[in-house]
Amino acid sequence: MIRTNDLKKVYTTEEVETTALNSVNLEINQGEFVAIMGPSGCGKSTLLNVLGLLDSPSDGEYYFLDQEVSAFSERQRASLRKQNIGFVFQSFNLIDELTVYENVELPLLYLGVPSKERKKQVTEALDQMAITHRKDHFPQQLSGGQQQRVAVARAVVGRPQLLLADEPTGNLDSIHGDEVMKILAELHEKGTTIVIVTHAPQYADYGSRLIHLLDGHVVTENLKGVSNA
Amino acid sequence: MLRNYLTVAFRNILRHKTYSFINIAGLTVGLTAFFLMALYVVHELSYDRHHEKAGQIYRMGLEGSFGGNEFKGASSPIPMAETLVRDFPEVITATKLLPAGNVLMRYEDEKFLEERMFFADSTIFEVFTIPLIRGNAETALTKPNSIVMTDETSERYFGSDDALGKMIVGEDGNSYLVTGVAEKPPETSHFHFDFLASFTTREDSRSTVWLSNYLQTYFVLQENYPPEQLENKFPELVEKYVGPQIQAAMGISLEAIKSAGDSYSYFLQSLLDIHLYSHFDGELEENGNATYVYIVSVVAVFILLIASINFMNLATARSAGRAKEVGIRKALGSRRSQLIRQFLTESILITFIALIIAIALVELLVPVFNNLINMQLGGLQLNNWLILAAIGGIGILVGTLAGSYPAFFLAAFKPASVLAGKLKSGLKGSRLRGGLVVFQFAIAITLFVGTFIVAQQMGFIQNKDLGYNKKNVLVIERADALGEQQSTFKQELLQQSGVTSATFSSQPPGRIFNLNAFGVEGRPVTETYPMYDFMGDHDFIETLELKLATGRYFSPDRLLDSASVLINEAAVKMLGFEEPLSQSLIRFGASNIICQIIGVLEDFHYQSLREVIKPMAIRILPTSGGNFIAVRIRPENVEETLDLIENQWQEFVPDQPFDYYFLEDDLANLYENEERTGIIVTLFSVLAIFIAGLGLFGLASFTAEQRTKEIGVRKVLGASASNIVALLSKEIVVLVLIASAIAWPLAWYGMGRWLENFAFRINLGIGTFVLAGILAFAIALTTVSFQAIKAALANPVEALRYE
Repeated sequence: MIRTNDLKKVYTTEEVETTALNSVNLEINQGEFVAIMGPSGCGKSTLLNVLGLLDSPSDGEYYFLDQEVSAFSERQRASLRKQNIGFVFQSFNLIDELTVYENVELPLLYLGVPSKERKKQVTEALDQMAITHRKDHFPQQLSGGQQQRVAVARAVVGRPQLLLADEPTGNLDSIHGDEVMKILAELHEKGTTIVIVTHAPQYADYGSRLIHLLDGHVVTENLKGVSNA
Repeated sequence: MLRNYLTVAFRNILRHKTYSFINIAGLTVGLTAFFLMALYVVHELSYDRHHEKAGQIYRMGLEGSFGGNEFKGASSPIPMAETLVRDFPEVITATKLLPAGNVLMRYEDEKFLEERMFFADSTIFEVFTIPLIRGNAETALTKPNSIVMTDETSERYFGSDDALGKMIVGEDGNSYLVTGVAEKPPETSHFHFDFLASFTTREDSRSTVWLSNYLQTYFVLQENYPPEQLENKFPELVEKYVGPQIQAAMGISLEAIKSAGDSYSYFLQSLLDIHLYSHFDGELEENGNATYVYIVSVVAVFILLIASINFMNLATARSAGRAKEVGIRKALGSRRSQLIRQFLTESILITFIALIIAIALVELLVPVFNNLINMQLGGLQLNNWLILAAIGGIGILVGTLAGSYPAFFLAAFKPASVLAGKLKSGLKGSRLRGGLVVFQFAIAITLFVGTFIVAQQMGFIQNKDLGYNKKNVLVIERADALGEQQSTFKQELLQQSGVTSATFSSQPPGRIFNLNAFGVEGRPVTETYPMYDFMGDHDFIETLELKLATGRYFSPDRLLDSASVLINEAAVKMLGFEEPLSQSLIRFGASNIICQIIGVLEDFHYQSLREVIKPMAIRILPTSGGNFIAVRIRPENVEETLDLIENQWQEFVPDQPFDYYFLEDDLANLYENEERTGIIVTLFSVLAIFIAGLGLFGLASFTAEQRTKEIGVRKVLGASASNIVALLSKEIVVLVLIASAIAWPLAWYGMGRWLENFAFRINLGIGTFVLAGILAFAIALTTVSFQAIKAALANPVEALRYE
């Protein structure tokens, strides 16, 4: 599903050049649950952004669903993104002016799903995250765990093949953190490919594969049996 | 999707109330000002368009030169209308139109003083669109002594009775049969009548004299016939009809006149150009001025621009607040174009909220505005779909304009950086915001300078030494009604303690318009000089306090003064006299009069200050020949004096209305257009600066909020409150300076052009420009420091805690 070849990402400001990713070679297959770990500033988030087509690499090749996408225009990336990728962020990133229901509905609007079908899918997603009772509330009225469940609902409502989660538990206490991880694991079981960036080793263990990043390099990759699921 | 956009937009408006208020208030004021000005502009542009054949209607004019002095007038002779139709097949129909002056009308025992009566051909209804409510347009004015009146006039005379068939009698002894009732002409006509009397009533209606040009001729040209082509045939017309009459009257041929370098030709003028572009001698009414319409249009567009810029500035300044949403939407697969569409929807929505409030405000303010500028503008005609669509179009245009930059700006945010919180909020685009503020203030300063200069020039006109004393002079019209009693009337007038002096004259002082050809004895008869021709009685220079340069004024003791003349200094110059008192003039007319020059008057402004002082001649008024009495009264107890004069008038001529005005007021009316433009420009420059200030206020509050941390740190490090205020205000100083540098040359050029309208004008001094800059600066600084002081006085601990 994902294959990168010598992927590089360099940020340049007027005076400084920062290499965030350096020669990253990576392959992620359909149905995998990959966890990326590493210290602050090692390039985890950058990698996730590039993989999620939010950002384009400075150099190297990136094959997403067997297409070389590193040179895709913003428009092409947006189109691929909305059909195939769901995002979950550390800070939830819900739109404050929209209700829970409206937030979850948003990706379907961009996908052009007809209204009747939209209603059905949103209701399903909310049910799945057990958040239906809060559907007319605004994000600020929810607890962190609830907000993240809404964010996950929004990420999966369009039934993407790939779910990218950038420290989804970072802003949550351990009870809510566990809860969110369990939901991700369930989604994985149902066939969604998941890539997660995390600081917490206990959550990294959810993954079927662990990737360690340091200073923009992949240092270790270990495959292991699915545990704790 | 649209619903989603609107939902977010509405919730944003409600959530950021101050910001929304500033945005909506700015746009509302801008749109209201724009619509008010648009009403004025549309009003001015719609003159005479109600005539069905408006595009084919033309008016004849006469231009030429005698002795190197040019004349250009809107008048033509009686035979013109008939000749045009007879000689030129492309002229479909034509009509004469002649104002009858003030006419005292009687119906049974009632008397009415009519100032808007015209004599016209029966074809006037073919040329102009004047719908008749009663009567038959084809025949209404064919017979002598027929008259058509407006519905309003009919109501005034006969109440609800049918006017048709009624007889009214004019003071000239003519009685008129009412043959039609017409709709009152709209405000937007270049002439307004209450009565149209058949031209055939007049004794001169069959006149074949071409040399007397004193009425207006209008005609309808065949559709699509090029007017220049007709105009090219006018020289033939002059040769055929005017030439022989010149030969007969003056003993010289047209060719001789031409070879002396003089000319005499007719021209045509489109009906649609009359109101805004025609300022000739003999206009039926005071016309508008295209320049002023242009100025007001520019100001209107500028105000909208300032309001739009406010929106742009505020929206981009607080873009950080929307950055997260942009990031999320992009992550969810929104395309840039979709985001642009979303933000445009939002700005259009805000504009429409402002638009609706503005429309309501305009409806409320139109009467106030009318009162202020002394006009009768209708409101926005919201029942007209076309107008409604235009208003909606303006809303969309302004919304798009105001929203376009923020939309592109916001939609360009990179999702990866925005979501990671890396966006340096607000710093981006601050240079552009500075540029926009400069633009706003440059406009505001330009308008300020304009306002000041208009006010200065108007003050200059009002206080300019006209060469006579215009204060405390009462002018009574229709003095001819006194007939033989003129001198007794004057004697009795002088008995009154409130009256210091009085004089009869042929024309109203201050508005002398009668031009006549003069010659100089001893020079060839082909050398003719046009000079304003005026007659006053023995007290004219005393009453108006004119100054004599040399020689003497007329004296009642000298019987020969009827063959004497005084001229002004301009005439001395034109005629090239070394010793004017040894010269004699010939006044050309039905019979030529030779007059000895007995004195020279210092130049005085007997016309508007737009005009230079032209040569004039004053002759002695024959006994009982006055049309006006100018009365100099004492400044005390004016009301009482006025009452006494009116009583005296009623004793002398009980059946004549007492019609008077104060010279000073009448002179002020000469500058009505200027006054009006001045009021509009003043009003809207204040509004412009208000809107700009509002935007600056929003921007300043945002900057202060953004720099909370910086201010906190500085305070912790020991900065005083005044240091902080200086820090936050520094930028504004620079911006206003730049804006001044841009505005000054613009204003200098623009106002210089405007002042060219006046032969007598103020000099553009640097002071005005500096003053405008300082004023704008003061307003900007006050606005900004309000926020700056608030930020400076805040507890730094509070500020730093949030970080």
